[in-house]
Amino acid sequence: MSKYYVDSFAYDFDMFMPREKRQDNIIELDRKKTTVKSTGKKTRAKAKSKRLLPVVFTAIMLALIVGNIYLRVQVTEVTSKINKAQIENDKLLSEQISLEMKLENDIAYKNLEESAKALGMQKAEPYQMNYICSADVDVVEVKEGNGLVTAQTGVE
Amino acid sequence: MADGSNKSMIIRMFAIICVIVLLFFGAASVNLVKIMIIDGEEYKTKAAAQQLSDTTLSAKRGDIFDRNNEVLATSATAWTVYITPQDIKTEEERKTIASGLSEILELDYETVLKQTQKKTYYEKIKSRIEKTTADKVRAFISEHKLGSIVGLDETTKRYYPNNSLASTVLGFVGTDNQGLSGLESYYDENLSGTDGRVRAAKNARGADMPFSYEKIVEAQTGNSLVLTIDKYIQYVAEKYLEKAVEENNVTNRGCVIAMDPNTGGILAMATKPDFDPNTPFSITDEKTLAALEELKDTEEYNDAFNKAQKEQWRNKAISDTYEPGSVFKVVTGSAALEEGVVFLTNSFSCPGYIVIAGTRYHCHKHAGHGTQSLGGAFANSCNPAFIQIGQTLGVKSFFKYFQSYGLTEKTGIDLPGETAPIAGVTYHDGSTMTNIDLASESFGQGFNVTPIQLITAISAAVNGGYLVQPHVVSKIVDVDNNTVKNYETKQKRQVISTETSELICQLLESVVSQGSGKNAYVPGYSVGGKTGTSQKLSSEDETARIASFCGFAPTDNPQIVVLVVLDEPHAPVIYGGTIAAPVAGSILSDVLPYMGVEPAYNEEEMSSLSVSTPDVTGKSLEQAKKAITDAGLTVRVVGNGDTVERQVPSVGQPISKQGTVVLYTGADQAVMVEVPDFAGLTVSQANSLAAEYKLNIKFSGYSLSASNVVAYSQSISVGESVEIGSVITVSFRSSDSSD
Repeated sequence: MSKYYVDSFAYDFDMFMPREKRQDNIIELDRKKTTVKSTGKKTRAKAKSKRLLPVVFTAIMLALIVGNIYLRVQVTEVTSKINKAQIENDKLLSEQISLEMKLENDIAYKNLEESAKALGMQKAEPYQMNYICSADVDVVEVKEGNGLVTAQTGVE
Repeated sequence: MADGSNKSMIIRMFAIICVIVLLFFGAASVNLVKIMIIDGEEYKTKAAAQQLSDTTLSAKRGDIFDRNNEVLATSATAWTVYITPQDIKTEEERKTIASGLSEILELDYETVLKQTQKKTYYEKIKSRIEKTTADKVRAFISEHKLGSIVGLDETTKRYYPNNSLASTVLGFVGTDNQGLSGLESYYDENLSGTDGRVRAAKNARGADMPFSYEKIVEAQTGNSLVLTIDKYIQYVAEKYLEKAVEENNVTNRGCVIAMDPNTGGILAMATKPDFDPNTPFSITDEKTLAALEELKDTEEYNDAFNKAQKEQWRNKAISDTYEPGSVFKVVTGSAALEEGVVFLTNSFSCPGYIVIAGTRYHCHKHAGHGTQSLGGAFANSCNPAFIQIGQTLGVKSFFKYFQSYGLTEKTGIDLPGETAPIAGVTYHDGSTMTNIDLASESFGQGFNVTPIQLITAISAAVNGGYLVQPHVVSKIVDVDNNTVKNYETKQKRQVISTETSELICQLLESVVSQGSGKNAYVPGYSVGGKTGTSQKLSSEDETARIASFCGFAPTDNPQIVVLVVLDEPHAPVIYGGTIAAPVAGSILSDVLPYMGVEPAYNEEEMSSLSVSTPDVTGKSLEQAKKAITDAGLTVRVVGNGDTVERQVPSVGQPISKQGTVVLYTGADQAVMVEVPDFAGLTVSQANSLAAEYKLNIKFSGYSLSASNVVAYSQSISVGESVEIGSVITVSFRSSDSSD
């Protein structure tokens, strides 16, 4: 009888079938006990895992949220640092250009000529200059093997 | 009955409800259509404005370099200081701000104080300050806790490190960094780049929500220009032009163009007086400032100030037209040679005038040049000879060459403001030109050209006959120095044959070696050129003249053509050959060695060359005397010592042969002498005066063997105290040039 509770409940056509005599060595109760025992264990494990699942899920979610927030904080901090560095870079670049321009102004031909005159210097005459010929293009020398040197021209 | 009325009532109610619902939904639908479709864009914009913040990232403006990649213009971040006067609460705060900012920004205290008293929310105190000043303002703000009242806005500043150098070519930018004049304006699209944008969502407080809702479109730096202009040649051109404008009291400005005749690349283009593009709205010319000062507090002041501003920005070399005078004879002569109506062997008679169709034309030499060859006509710049040449050529042929040399069209130079020639206004069209017009046009009067048109035509005459398009930009490069666009030489047409061009070069060389252009002579170099002194027929002043000279070198392979125009000089002598030719000569003298053109001295030049002062300091007196005598110099000793302690002139200084080196042999004090006035003296007179004052003279500017050569300027001012033996450079020029 208990078998039917365990297995099928609604229509057990076996009930209307001619029955064979069951073997006496079959101990129904033992089987029943074993089955109940194993079902109880599973249920407990299931219940336990069911209780743990939300915790784990919550923990994962929390970790994800915290991680996300942490990453965003990090990104914010790094971005802020980059922005500050960028602004500082712009300022320094601006200062560099303005100083370069002042230097350019200081060494302008007009100022150089005036300074040279003040120092008693004289402009060189064309006849005092020595003219040298230089190659129109760069010359590359490549050393090959046993001290062999080849010259290559045409590299502009 | 009752049932029936209820039923009909229910039906009516249902119908009414349906109508109401339909009307409601209909109205809603209409509204939806209006909001979503008809006014959709407007609402979208409004929503975007509410939900999104849009920040513009200003693009950095491209730089301008000379042909050797020297910076002529660049940009950097700068700051604008502003205040919000409405937020100033106490009088003490107001005074603190006014005194602090006026001190840091070098402004007038009262002016800043007035600005703090305004009832506005934004008052600009100073624009485009640099980092060091901005840092001081920041420190001032934090020290006095004025963060809510004083602020700094980031902006861009354009730097022109060479101040006024090439200012009329470079132009300048406005407050919004847009090009307003010169190359800055012409190439504004290339230089300005593309602004970037940061689009971010706003939170409920209106603050930006970065990261998730941010979209950045980076700004693209503008492209840079590499010019054909050479900073050194530009400097040299401006130096001598400025000097000439000042010395000859030129009242309508002067200009110089230096051009590579083979490529059309402009090496230098200067107008004086000009302006400083760092402060383009300030008047720089002292004479103009003095004139404006007189008009101060009058109604005319503003108009006069605006006129002066526009005048100083105007690039005379391309915008002003003038009658070229005798320089134009190159065009007439080359056309006649090319057409084969005139030959080198032809001779021309000049009795001092010529009559054409009843009109009498005088030569600048009223006594006449007599009979002369074509070379002589060029060298003497004889008007009757060129009128004869013009008449021989005829109107049709003359106009054909006038047109072919590009004088009826713009040159197409890449600068804004080039004046376009107009037929019937600036020149006579071939169909309307009479023989009388032809007569005056043959020697460069009766029509107008711009200096850039004329130098382009002269370049064609000497470069083998090819009319090239002048240009200022050689290439456009991007921020990584990759070439975006290259501007190659553009030959428009061949006007005259190479053979005719060679003949013209020879004829023009004789103008400088023997003729009216002697003052452009440069020892060691073959220089050719043509002088010009034209009447300003459009001027009310009958004595108004334009002195000009167009020179080139070397004559066998022209590398540079220089045109000098001095508009309305007021000096004792105002001929182009006297005041404009020396400017071209000085420019060529400095520039040719720089360009690598080696001098080749003839015997006469070799004999008059200076020598370098030998180094005898520290040597025994005997050794020193020998070294100096061996160098062809004489010795004067000061002191009783045996060893030379000091020498004047110093080592290596050029000194004329037979010059004197003063040797100081003890701790004696320097013997001083006041510099005398050499102006107007001949070479021998100047030598005698220098010897009398125990000074050395270095001759400059002209072939000293020629007649009528007199000194016109000296390197050390009259009355200045110098040591005996000092070298004074005295510039000489021929006084017999009358064209």
